[in-house]
Amino acid sequence: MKIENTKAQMRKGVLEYCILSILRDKDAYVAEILDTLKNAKLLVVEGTIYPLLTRLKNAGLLSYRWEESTGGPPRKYYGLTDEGKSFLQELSTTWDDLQSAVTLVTKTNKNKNS
Amino acid sequence: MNKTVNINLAGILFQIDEDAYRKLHDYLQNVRKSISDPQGREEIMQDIEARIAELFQEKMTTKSQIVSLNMVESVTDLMGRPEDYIVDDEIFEDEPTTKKKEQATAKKLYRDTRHGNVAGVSTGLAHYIGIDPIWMHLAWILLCFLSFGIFIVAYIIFWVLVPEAKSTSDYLHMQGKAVNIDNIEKKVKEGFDSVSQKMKDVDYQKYGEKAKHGTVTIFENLGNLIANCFKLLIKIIGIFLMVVSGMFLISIIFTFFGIGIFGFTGADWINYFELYYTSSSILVASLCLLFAMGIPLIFLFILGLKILIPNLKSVGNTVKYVLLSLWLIAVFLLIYFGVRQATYHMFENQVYAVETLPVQKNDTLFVKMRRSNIYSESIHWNNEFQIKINKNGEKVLFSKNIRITYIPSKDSIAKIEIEKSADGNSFINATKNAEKIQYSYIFKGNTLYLDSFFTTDILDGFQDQEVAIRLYLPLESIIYAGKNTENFNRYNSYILDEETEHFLRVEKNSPTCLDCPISKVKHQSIIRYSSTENGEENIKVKISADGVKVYRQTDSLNN
Repeated sequence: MKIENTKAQMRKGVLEYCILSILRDKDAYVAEILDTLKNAKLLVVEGTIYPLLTRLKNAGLLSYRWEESTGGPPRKYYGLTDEGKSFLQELSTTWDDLQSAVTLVTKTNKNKNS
Repeated sequence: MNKTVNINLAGILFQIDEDAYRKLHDYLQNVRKSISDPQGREEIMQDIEARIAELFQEKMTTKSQIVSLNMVESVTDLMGRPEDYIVDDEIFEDEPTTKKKEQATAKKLYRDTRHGNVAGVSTGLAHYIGIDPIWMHLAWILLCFLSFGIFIVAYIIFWVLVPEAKSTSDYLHMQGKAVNIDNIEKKVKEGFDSVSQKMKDVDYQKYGEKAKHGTVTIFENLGNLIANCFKLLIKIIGIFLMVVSGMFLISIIFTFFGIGIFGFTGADWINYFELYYTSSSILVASLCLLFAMGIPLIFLFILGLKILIPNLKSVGNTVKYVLLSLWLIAVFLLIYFGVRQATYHMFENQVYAVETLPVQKNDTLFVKMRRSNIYSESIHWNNEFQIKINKNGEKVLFSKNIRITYIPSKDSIAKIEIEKSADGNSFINATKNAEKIQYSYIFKGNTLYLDSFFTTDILDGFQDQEVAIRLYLPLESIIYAGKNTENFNRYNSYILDEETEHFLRVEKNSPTCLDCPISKVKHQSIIRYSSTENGEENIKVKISADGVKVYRQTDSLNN
């Protein structure tokens, strides 16, 4: 198993959650989402975002509206739906649980090793 | 100088170099292919195109700048390679990408129901082998005719065992194509690399290397050759197994159906079958036979198939166990039938009927064989059983297994003893079966008219029934044996012409023929007559090929 694949797997797992939480407070363009991710050092290839966003939209978790932009094609402005908000809530809980579980497991391992 | 193309990306006009256009076009095609979800595909493509347009706009310093190859390349790097788009499936599933890539290259045998004619067997096979389906169809039809339908059975078995290609990945597996775009790229790259490598290798260094590893490659090749021969041999055995077992299977099935459909309506030889197997359950017995022989053949056939096609869908454990138990039941039943059959013949008994014949000592007894006036049969002994219809229209068992012996009686009374013998599954039944034998004779005016046959009830079938006639006569009485009595005689120590009648004299061991023509004697038998009474001088008569000689005992007898 290559390390890159495992890393990619880990990132993929949280990507959905991250995108949904970016949109929790305010709506955003795709480019803004990408910038936020990049600033947080979450390495994601641009092309991955589009299919994911479409999927979330088809699942009813996101909605968008068109916004005209100066000197460019119209852009999609994404936001969470009510369903998306509750979905996000549940994911947050899951994430917290997961985080504490992983911390516990790795801590005990570290203790064993050291 | 480059040619430019005008493109429309998300509603915005761009002028793009031709080579850049091609790269962009291919990229977008790959991206489109990699999106497996057909519903969101268009939307995603629009989003991506829009994003690309945005990026181009950002990169262009002036409005009328041409989109160049560099720009396309940097944008595609930014956007990511096509297979990363497959990622979107795997966000929701846990399949790692490497597994998928490995699966793609193996070719599997599926049934191509989309393009097949009947059940897609030959089309699927054609894909697997890699030939045009038309040829496969032709070959299949041809084989069907040539093999008298064996291949129809093979087709049916393929139908059952080979799985149907249902999903798209099945289809790709069937045709052995890579499911993955990356693989295509890789393969193309490999192709280029190997070509360039070959071009580079036209130098003596490579040749030197070749010489060094020559011996190694020789052994490698030899090893490969042997391995391939072995594999080929195994495949040949597989084919052989398939063909032979298939043939036997078909012949058994046809025989069974032949008996089943046509047999029970009274074909003659079925009656004989019933004679020998008194149970009324011939159907069960033949079913058992079918299963007992057919099931192992089925297993052999599947084994042969599996040798040829490694990834054949397994028949399933339930089917195997069912077949196995059927086979066991069939075998046990056959054993049971066999044992039961044997018990029908375990006992044997005879019944006797004796009658005194009013023949004086010096009279000649005439013996004649009588033909039946109901059943048209020749007067000739044989021990076969036949089924005939009697006067009342009933079926009877008919046999000509009659044996006649002439035995000197201890007193001077002439007797005829009829012994009827039969088998049975118990002593009582054996006796009953013997009693059921019908045999008759008539004594009229010094002539004994013996029936040349006997009949018996057909219900109990073949029970090895026999009739033996013993004629007890005083020593040295004369018998005039009629035509055809010869072959009913138990002892053929005198050879008679069947068509003529002869005088016989009853002797201690066997009767002596008094008037047999010498020329008909097969070997040089010498007939001697000697009188040995009261120790007086003995007169001997010798009849042989040399003639008739009369002499006293003291003379030598060896001439």
